Amino acid sequence: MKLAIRTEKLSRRFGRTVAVDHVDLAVPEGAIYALVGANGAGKTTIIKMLMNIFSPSDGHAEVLGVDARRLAGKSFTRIGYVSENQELPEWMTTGAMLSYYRPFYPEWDPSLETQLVRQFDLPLGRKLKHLSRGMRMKAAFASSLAYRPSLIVLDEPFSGLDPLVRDELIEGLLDRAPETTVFISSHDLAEIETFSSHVGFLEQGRLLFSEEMPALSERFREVTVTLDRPSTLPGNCPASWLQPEAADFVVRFVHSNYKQQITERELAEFFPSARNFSLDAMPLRSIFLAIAKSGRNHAQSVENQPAANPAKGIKA
Amino acid sequence: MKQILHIFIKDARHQWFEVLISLAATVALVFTCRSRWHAGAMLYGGAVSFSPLGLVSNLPAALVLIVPLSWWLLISPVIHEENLAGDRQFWITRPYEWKKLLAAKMLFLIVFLFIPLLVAQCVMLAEAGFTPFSSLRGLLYDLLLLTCVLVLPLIALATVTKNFARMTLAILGAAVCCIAIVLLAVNAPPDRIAIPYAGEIAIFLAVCLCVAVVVLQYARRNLRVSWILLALLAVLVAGASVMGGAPDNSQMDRTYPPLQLTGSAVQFAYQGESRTAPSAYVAQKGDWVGISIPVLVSGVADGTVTIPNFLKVTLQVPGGKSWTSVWQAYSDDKFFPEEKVASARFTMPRSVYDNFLGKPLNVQLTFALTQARAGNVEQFPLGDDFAVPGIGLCTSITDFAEHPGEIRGLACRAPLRQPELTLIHTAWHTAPCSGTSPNPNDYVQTAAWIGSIERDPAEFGIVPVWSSGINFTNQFVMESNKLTKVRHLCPQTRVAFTTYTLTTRTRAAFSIDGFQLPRLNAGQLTIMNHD
Repeated sequence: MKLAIRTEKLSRRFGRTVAVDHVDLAVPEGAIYALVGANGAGKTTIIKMLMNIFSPSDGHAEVLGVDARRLAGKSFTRIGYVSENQELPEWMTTGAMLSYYRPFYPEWDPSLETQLVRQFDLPLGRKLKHLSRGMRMKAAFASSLAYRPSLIVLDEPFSGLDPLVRDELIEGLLDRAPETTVFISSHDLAEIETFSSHVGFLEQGRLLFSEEMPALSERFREVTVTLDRPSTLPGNCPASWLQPEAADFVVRFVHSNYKQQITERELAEFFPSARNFSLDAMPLRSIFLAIAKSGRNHAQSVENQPAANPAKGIKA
Repeated sequence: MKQILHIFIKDARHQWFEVLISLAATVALVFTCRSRWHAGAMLYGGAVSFSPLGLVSNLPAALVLIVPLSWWLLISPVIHEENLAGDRQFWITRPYEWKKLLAAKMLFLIVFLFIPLLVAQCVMLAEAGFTPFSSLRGLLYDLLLLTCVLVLPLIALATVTKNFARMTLAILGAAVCCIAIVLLAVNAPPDRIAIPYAGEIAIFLAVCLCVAVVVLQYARRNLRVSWILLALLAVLVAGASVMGGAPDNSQMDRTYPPLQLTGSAVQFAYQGESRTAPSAYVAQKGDWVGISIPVLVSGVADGTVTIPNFLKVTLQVPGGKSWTSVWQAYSDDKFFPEEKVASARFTMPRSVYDNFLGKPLNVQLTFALTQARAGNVEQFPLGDDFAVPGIGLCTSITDFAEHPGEIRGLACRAPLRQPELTLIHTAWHTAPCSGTSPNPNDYVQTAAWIGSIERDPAEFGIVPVWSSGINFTNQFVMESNKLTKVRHLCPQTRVAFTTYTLTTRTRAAFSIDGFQLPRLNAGQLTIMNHD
């Protein structure tokens, strides 16, 4: 399997703050890889290291087979990069911006450009500084898709956009998806879930897991156990049980390593007096929240003690 | 090349207004200088006034400041168009090649800054009456100086800042640094000895550091290292300024070899019995004392002038302590073949002065001298403008004349730099200028020096024409500290120009035995600047 992006122990420190901590990523060619995580988790820093905007403090990254530290000039003819806080040549009109970029890219496709302009309904004669946030993002998308890049890197592209614009952008992106690899960072999980093929979860600079979306969905279950008498949580809960809680006759938790037969056997052992087990599939948003909250609770409960991985037991 | 032109055209389209401002300032400078030169005598030497003519005559000075400011307005946006500080710029993830980007920016500055400036300088030279083509080497040298001193630092500051406001702050910071450096240098001990070639090395390193910052920013966008390099630059300039001081002995030995090597016959003798007795003054906030010793100068060869540049003094108590000064710059003076009593002035620390006061001393004075030989004498009648070979063009100053036809002085202009060292002789008239020949008693001889022995290809400046009024002696008649009369020149009065060329640099020394340091004259304290 050829990889579009590969990182090994990629790390970045800002003074004493560790923003990215030994991240190993492997993004296969053709994938739509979603890097999710809370604000400040290190997503943007990883992307900026991949784009050679920041240098890694440690470790190594390769993008389209090129050492990320050497990514410059012509290498960017194969890469499209759009970021929520990226500056644009504001004084240019949309049309002037596209015309300006055109000669930089040998693979620039004028017919695709026209198609994107039409698809995004871009006003070619208006200056970028006079466009709405959504329109500016569409213009940035069009200028990054028109040359059919092998890799599109998107940093929080949907942040602060209305649903209509989001749908238009996603549609535009998916039209190009078969011919390109998409690496997208977001905490807009509902959208990500609809089109991502892979997902990586980043927390406090560490990559907690990175896997294909169907496998992830298959692995997480929201478990509700109904007991025949009031009970407390078992003392030796497995680490794969996230956010366990007990209330009267009901025990709830998120199982992060669900395998039908093994899990059912495990539940029967822990709750012999259970009247009923409910194992519900979870949306990405719920999985994300469960992991994030579990990490925070864990951090609070073990304050000043050596921290264990909050997602211990989760397949990485 | 395609990418360079593509970026250049984009910048030219976007920065047209800044280009226009810069070109307008340059054109305005050319026009005001032109009108000044064409107006000739009327605008030379005029007092500052708010009359239209006065305003026109003062405009070039203002525009000489405005033109570099317009470069600042030009350099900032063109560099910040693809700014190098930050991590959100649109262009850093586009297929820009840094060498081509840098080349595009340099092309922009060549097309819209250097070429207009060079053309403007050529036009100014032509309008001032000189041939630009023969001054091309000097013009390029001047352009190099302007680049190193103004343009390159501005580019370097633009590359480490995000926008015009930040760059302005950085320039203000640099200005504060410069003021601090000047204060440091002023307050540094005056007897410090400069490291040989420290100034030249510092300038070379400063230029290299600026170039390194620009290249590093374009190649790597490594802001931290770039700022460290700029801080190093500030330290370097500060160090060179503070380290700068009196020339060291080896440098003086090379530049001013001892007398026997050059065969100079200039002689000095103590003139203790002269009208001007030795005197002492307080200098440098009381920490230093200035001493003036009358010295008879003789033996200057006919047709030459000797210029004292430096003086070194050794004081010794027979069989006891001694003190030797550093090479101190000598005040502006010139020695001619005629015998002359000059004042050998030097400064010494107050503590040394107090230590030696009242004791008989052996004093050795060593002069570092430049000798120049007179060349051809050119004579011209006053009236219309006239060209003096080796100098340039001279014109009569007629403004503020009491009577029509009177000339209040002379002004000359030269291409690129001061003219050769020249002595100008003429005669003031005290009677009104009339058609009849005036009485010889109505003449007062006058002289003035212009120019310099040092000959660089050009002097640093935006206007490539050196121009100055000639400060003739004896113009004003004073009685009881009041100006009673201003003398004038009359048309057709002969003016003689004698140019001097460097023949040799040497040194001459003499001793005074049993010299006693003069007491500080408490009633006539004089502040002397030691430089």
